[in-house]
Order: sequence, then C-alpha cells, then structure tokens
Amino acid sequence: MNRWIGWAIAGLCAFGFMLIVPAIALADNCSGLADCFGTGGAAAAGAAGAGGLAGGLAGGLGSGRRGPGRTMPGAGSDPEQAGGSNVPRDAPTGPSGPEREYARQQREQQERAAREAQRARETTVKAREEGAFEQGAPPATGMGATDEFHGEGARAPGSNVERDDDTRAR
Amino acid sequence: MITQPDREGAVERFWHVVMPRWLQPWAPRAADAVADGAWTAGWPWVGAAAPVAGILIGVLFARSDALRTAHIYTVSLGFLAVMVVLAVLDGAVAVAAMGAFIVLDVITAWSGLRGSFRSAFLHLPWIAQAVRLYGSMLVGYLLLSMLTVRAPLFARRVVDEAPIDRVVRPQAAAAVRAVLYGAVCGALVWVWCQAMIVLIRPAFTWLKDSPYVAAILPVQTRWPLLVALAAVAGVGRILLEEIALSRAPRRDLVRRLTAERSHDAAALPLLPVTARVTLQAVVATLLLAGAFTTALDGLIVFVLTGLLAAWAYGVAGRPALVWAGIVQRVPAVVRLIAALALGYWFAGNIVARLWATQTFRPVLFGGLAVMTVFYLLFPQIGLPSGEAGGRDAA
Repeated sequence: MNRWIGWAIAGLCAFGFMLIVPAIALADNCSGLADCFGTGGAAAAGAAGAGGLAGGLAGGLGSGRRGPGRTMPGAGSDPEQAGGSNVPRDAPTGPSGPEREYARQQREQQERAAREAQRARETTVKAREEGAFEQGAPPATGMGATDEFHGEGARAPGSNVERDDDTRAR
Repeated sequence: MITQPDREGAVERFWHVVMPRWLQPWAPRAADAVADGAWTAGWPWVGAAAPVAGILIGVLFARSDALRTAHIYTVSLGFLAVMVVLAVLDGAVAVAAMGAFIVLDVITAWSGLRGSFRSAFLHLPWIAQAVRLYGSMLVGYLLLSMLTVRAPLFARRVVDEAPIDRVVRPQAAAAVRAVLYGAVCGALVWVWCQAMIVLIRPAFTWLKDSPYVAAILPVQTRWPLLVALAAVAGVGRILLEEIALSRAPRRDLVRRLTAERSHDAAALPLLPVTARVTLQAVVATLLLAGAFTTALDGLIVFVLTGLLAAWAYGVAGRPALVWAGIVQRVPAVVRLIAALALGYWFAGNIVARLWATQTFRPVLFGGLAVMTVFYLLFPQIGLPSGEAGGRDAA
C-alpha cells in the first residue's frame, strides 16, 4: 500500500506542476476561442476543466457514496453506531440486473475472505491450546498468535506489526 | 441503535437531519451537503446559527451592487471566495447561502437586467425571452452547485477512500487527512475555474449578448486565490472536525446526528438507473452548453453522456462489471490524479489539432475526452459494504 501512497504523492506533485504550466491568457471577453484562452495550453486546461466538471463532478465523483455520518472520524466506523446501517450511499434499493450481479460477486468474495479468516482464527486458537498443553510451544499459524508468543522484543526494527496491532485495536 | 435526540440539540437536528430528510428525494446531493455541517454542533449555538448566517450571506450578496445587475455571479470575486470557503468548511452554510442567493436572484433577475438587454433579445417573443433568460440562469446555478455541493462531497469521498489509517500512525492520520482534503479541494476548485471561463457563456450568448471581461476575469486570472482559499479551508475543516469529535463539549451530539443521518441516507430510495442516466445526460448537456457551436454539438454531448453513464452504472453488463471491479481497487485519489493527467494530455492533443477552426469545438471535444476518462475511472455501480476501502475497511 505504501506504493500507492508514493504514486499519489508523485501524482500530486505532477498535478501541481501542471497547474503552473498552462499559460494564463489575458482576460478578454471570450467571444471566440483565441479571445477566451489565448494559448493552446490554456484551452487544454479549459477543456480539462469542462470535462472534469461534466464527467467528474456532475457524474460519479460528486456522489457521496456513503452518507456523511460515515465520513466523520469515529462516527461511522461501527455499523451499530451508525444505526446498524452499513449500506453504501449509492447502493440502489432496487438494483438493476448487472448491479445485482456485481453485488453478488462482491458479496461472495467477501464471504470467502471471511470464511478463510475464520478458519485461520480457529487454527490459531487450536494451535494455542495445543501449545499451552505442550508447555509453551509456539502455534503453527496465525499472525496475532505469533506476535503474542514472540513478544515485543521479537519485532524487527521498522516492522509494521505494531501498526497492524494499532489498526486492529481501533 | 439510534437514540432519540434530547431537547438540547433540537435546532441542530433540524438543520442536519430533518432538513436533509426533506431534501433527499429531490436533491440527494444537496441533502448530503446540508448534513455535512453536523460537526459544527460540537459547540453550543454554532451548529444552530451557522445556516442562518449562511442565509443572511446569500441575501446580502444577492442585494449587493455588484451582483444585483450582473448577468452572472462570477463578476464578484468576493462572492466566489466566500462560497468556496463556506462550501469546504460547512456544506449546510454553503447550501443555505446558495439557496438564498438563487431565490432572490430569480425574483429580481428581470428587473435587474432589463436595462442591459440588447435590442436583438428584446425583439424575441416574450416566451423565448423568458426561456432564454431563466435557462441561462439555470446553467449558472448548476455550475455554482458543482462548486458548492459536488466538489466538497467528492473531496470527502477521496479522503475517506484513501488508506491513510493503514499506512501512517494514528497520531499523524488527522494531519495527513487534512492535507489531502485541502489538496483535493484546491484541485477541484482549479478544475471549476478553468471550466467556468467558457461554460458561463450562455449567461450572455443566450441573451444575444457577448461575455464581458469583468465576468471572465475572476475565474481566468484570479483562480490562484480561490484555489489557495479552498486548500487552506480544507486543512482547517478536517482539523476542526477532529476537535469537534474528540474535545468539543457536545461531541456526543455530533456523533448522534451523523449516525442518524447515515441511517436516513442508506434507507431512502434512489431514482431508477434509467432516470439517473437521463438526468446525468441532461445536466452534462446544460453544463457544456457554453462550448456548443451548433445544436448538433448538444446532441453529441447528450448521446455520449447517456452512453457513458449507462456504462458507469453497469447497464452494459459483464464487461462494465469486470472493469468496475478492477478500477475500484485503486484508491480514488490515485484515479483522480490519473484522470486529470490523462485528460489534460488528451485535451492538449485535441486542441492542438483543432485550434485552426477558431470555434469552441476544440474545447468541447477535448472536454468530452476528459469526461470519458472520468466515467471510465469512476464507475458508479453500487459497492457492497466494506468494499469501498478507506477508514471503514481499516
């Protein structure tokens, strides 16, 4: 995921550069293309703005896919706290065929992931019980259980294990 | 479980829960924007009084000398600056100000502009005059709503979907979120300013008039100020919101209001997909009207937007679903940057090839290319819970 952040920062820098590049045309009354923009770069920026407005803000981007409550820090991360609702803002109440199909695929994918996680947890618990029974042998699988057995001192410098723990704790 | 609000937060609940509930069937995005100001309820009086202040601001601007007789609000840099700051800080105040401004502007438009009508316009039948005048005003209001309603909502979506909690320590998450929100708000205001240079033309051309410099200048050359204001307000907004939820005296009220609104937003029905596709095509056609050379351009925009919106909603079937599954794995902020960079490159090539025509078609076709990129990178097929990533997934 760090790679995505790196790309995002690089992209923001590139976009900042792009902001500077389009020459600002001298203000005219915009009765024609040259009056309006003066240079090709300014016209391209105008086109990018117009397209971004029509396709982005008027299209999908402006949709608050999730209700504002879910965007508030600490206010919506818990579905119970958010009134038991975990439905995305744009999830149609009467979805069309393709949307239903897409939602079904995604649901199946989530259920598969949940089953695997559950299996991993069960394996961890079982291994822990066996380990305890056999006087402290480390468990075979399970990240959390491994951390617990190896303790704080076993973490490599710069390891993200602690951060993962923080995330889970939240 | 949602608890019933006590009497203490009744006014705040009216503004940030009841009002959005009324707006939801007619203007769902405006409803989201009004609910967006719930964080101000953290302090006594602020959440209750802020929307009233917004109405007063709208009235003052509508009655001001600068705007009372103007074809379009872009003549006033002060109005634009205030709307940008309000929209980023508190959606409820921005919608209140915009609503009050629009109501007064519509009421006084005929008397305010009568002295400036050209004879070519006055020779039209009265019904044509009315359609052209109020049609041009509608285009202007749609453009204003992109700035005050849509842009902050999208910026929020980008920030919420960014996996900030997974890559930075909790102590730094708020600061990173604030900087990202400010940067996205600034970028969207830049997009809006660039588009406005050409898209406000119907305010003049539909009245058989020519645009004048004073209306173009603030968005054409003063956009750095608006972008900077949006960025600073964005950073401030997120930091204030963090304080509202962690240290404000009425933080529990804020949580309660946002939870109740969340429940409402998920429960209320949306328009059918066909209606949403048609509406998007109509809105995009009106927004881009300033770049049309002939009526054929309008038809092209309407058809293309309809097709793209149908694709984005998954009407095209399996290929659209597969594509949506792929692109929605990429954080929204990365897709936004890719869309702007790719779009700018496409638009530059198209403008260079068509520059000699000296019509607005280079801008229109360049804009359509950018629009296509945005629709492809931001499919609107409903995501199942937890799939949107960001903070919830964390």
